[in-house]
Amino acid sequence: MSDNLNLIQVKDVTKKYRLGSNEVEVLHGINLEVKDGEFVSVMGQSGSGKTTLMNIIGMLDRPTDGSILIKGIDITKKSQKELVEFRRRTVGFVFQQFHLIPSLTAYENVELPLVFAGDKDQIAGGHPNLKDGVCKGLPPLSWNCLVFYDKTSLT
Amino acid sequence: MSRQIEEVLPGLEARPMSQIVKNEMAVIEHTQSSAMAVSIITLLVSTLTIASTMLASVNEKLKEIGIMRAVGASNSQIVFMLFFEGAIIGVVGGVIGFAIGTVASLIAAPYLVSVTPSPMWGMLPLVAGICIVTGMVASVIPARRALGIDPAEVLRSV
Repeated sequence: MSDNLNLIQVKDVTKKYRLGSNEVEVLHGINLEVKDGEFVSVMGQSGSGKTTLMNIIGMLDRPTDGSILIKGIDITKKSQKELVEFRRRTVGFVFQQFHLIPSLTAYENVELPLVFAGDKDQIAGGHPNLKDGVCKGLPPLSWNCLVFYDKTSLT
Repeated sequence: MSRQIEEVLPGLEARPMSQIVKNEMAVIEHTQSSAMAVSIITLLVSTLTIASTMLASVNEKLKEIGIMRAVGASNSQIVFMLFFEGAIIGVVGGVIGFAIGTVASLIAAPYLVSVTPSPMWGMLPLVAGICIVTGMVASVIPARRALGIDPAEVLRSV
């Protein structure tokens, strides 16, 4: 299988954590390939390292050994600054918990990644279905439409 | 000259004007030095207070900062956010302090030194500037703490 068909390649990834004087190996040489358009579920017991693997693939964490290639680019060789930029543009996370920022409104929470990416105008002007927090040209309950009712509610 | 006057007019104390001015200037300089020392100490205490407040704020917002980093906030954006917060705290505190200080001196000075001071509004921009810088300097340690937050660890623990 050529590399350019693989969206994600995980090669011999290990992850060790230091807990006091002990070193705990959470991931032991993981290999994984996910092709473009493929839907993959990672299953395992609680504590088996699923979240750690997701965090490493999502560039929130770094592996102790091994390499991760996203679209053929080895992210383990990237600096922290490059990783932030790459993660903004390439990876979307749906967290297990909501992980909302309570001091922000629902709209501002949705907008936040675009603000950090410097694409704030995109949400107001560039996105076809969303302008100033309301749908444009779509019925209110369209599946691809966000409606912000008040500061903390959206559909 | 003053001695000659005292000899001619016994019981009279004569002093040269230059001596009087010199003595008055020494008192003013001493007062200014004391005021400057108090100001510097106040500035240091303010810096430490803002730093402590900001550090507590960062510790309370570990989760929020972790989420922000996870959704794409760069180090410089986190630092800017905290420096901005520090600058706002500094300038609000500075302007309130300036207003209270002005009112207090207008009330107290006539009783203490028999002088009614005129408010130094021209100093306000300088005070605001110093307070902004103080707030930003105080944000350095909280910013270092915020940059040390591991988003993966924060998200795992909540």
